[in-house]
Amino acid sequence: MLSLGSYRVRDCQGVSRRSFLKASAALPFAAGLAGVDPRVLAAEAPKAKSVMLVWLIGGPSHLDLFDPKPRAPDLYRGPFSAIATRTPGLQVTELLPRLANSSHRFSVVRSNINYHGGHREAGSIGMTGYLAPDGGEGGQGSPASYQPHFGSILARHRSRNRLKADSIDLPGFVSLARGPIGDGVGPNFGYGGGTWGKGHDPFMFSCSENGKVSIPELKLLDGLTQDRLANRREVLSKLDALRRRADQTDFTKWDAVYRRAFNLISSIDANRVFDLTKENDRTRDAYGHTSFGQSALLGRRLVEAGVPFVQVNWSQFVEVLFPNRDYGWDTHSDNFGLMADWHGPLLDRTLSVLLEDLDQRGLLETTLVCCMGEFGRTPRINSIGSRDHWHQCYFSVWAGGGIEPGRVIGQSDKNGELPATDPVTPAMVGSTMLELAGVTSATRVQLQVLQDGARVIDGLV
Amino acid sequence: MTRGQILLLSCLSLVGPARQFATAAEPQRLTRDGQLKFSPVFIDQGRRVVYSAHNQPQRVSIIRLDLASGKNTVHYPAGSDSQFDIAFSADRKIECFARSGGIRQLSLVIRHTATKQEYLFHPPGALRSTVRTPRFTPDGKRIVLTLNAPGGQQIVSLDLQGKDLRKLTASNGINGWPAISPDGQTIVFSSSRKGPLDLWLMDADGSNQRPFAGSPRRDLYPAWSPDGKRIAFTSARDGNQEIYVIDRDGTNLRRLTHHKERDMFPVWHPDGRRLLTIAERGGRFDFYLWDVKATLAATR
Repeated sequence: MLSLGSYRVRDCQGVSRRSFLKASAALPFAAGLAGVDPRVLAAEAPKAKSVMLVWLIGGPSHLDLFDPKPRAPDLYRGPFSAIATRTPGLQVTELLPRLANSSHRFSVVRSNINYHGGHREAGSIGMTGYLAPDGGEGGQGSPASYQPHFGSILARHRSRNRLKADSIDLPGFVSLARGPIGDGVGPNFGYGGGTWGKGHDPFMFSCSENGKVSIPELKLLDGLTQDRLANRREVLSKLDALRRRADQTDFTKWDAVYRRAFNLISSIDANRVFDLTKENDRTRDAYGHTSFGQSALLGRRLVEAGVPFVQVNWSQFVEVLFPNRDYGWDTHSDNFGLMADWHGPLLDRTLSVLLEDLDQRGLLETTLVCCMGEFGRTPRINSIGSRDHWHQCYFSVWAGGGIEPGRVIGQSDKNGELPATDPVTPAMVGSTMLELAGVTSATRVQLQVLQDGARVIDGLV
Repeated sequence: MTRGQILLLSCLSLVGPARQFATAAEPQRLTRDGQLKFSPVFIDQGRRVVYSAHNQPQRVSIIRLDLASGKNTVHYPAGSDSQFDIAFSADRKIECFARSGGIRQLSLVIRHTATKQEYLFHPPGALRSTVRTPRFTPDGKRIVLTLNAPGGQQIVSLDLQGKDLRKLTASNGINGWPAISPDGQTIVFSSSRKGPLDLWLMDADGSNQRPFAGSPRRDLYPAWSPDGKRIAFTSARDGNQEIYVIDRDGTNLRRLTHHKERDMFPVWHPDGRRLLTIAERGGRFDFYLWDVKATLAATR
């Protein structure tokens, strides 16, 4: 059920037609990499054929999910009880009973840190490894000032090592969201190609709670349905009309993007990937009929089809009490009510089913799943009975693709405020993903990415 | 007990609920849209349910469901804000609900339908202060609600113009989800002041706060039966979020629902015999109406 159009992106700048064209030109398709030794790129078969980054935008509370502190003072502990899991030494909160029962499939890192307390910068750092030298979103930065997203790196690497068997013309990096991910102020600049350019941005699809898949960036071709795409004459006619409206510079970029998107959309094989009705009802039900649940299912299908990097974004608007804002896990107020009713149980359901589904299909062994946000939330409950941003210590969940499951890596201190062991940095998160996906340290040196302080997380692999 | 006896008991416990439900009064499923929905209330002698739903991708709206026709109507069609957690005074002359226009603060709107006057309560303190779960007192003179504001998450009451704020709780931990007994004398609520979220009671003025029912897991959303003799609530005490019913004196705790998915937001039908819940089934969220007596008898 792939359709086009009928989506309005909203960010703090608003969306003009021109800016839309620029966004469209950002569609990816991993261009070749000049100047890199192909022998370096030709790595041995990776443990992780694909990476799924389940991105919990907004900053989920570590104390209320994967790092409960039942002995902490009342002002820190929160109201949710700690429960045992199948993993010795690992407790999670009562909001995650299904994950507790399937903890043999994953490991938990409890000593993640970030370098910024704002969503946009922290998100960009979390997805690229570093803050942009010019200060990123809070400074005079732009998307081009960030290092490339981990997914852009993997997609570029794989594009040079593509196997002929990878016949379906799918992009190397897909991000599943209704629009640019970020917060109520604006998007994360680190969402894509960064210093490598928009040609390395992710291909964005949105997936509704009903499993309807669409490409927000192709809204300009409003009214163009999947069926009508088969009519090339009609498509060309619309393109001509668009060409007359757009200036040549923008259109040249967009034309190439469009042709690739057109090929993708009109490919029978690709269409099958996006058609969630091909799944049986029990599977679709199991993931849950939320945009997050169905996006995770679509992510699994993309991995199954061979897409190297899929980012499944929480939300958008799973829980929105605030209209037209995508706060995700940013529960500054009513944290405990929202966590109890929606965030905790929905994550528990979808993530546990995703891991189980991948496992039963024999895909977990070759698919690295990492679930995390840009930071955690304040261990100390704030003055209005909720939790604020906390980047000094938080969690990540890892499974499959070469990860040793059933482990707890790192520790936080008694109240969950700081790592009690070596901190795990965003660059280490990226290095671990890429190393397991076959982008070796030598390749990363060649690509000039993830070098400063970047190493694989000890004990996880 | 021998290993064989243990195995037999284990097998019986696995097949037990399914066998029992085969003879039980099955709940009546009232909706099939599957949308995320919450905070239902009955109006018009049980002929309609008004609730909050994610009926649009970027908003929450208040919806009125006519049970006879199955027709859904947006309760307040105008406006681009999110509206939810509606409550009605007993005489239906006043409605109140939480509203957000996009900023983090959730305000309480008190709408006097007869005079068309509207009063706004903006929570004190930080911009992120919020209101949730408002309830009218049975005499219709005050509104009790959950307030996230400086001082923590507490239960307060307001007059019908959103003024005269009175703090009913001021404890450590999290307090919320208040429900007022039909005689107006007692409020049942959830509180984590002793650790997990347990049910507590207090007098209507906030005095005499005492524990009522608890478990190591969260107990939430208490709802008084119309005769004031029983309280339904959700609890995760058996691992999953289910509906329980307990007598007013704290005895006779019974589990009403038995499903691997969640059962939430119980409200009593005005007839006192039936209970409305929002059940997660097949990853969707719909209303189910339970005959309490028949269901409890079947699962005994």
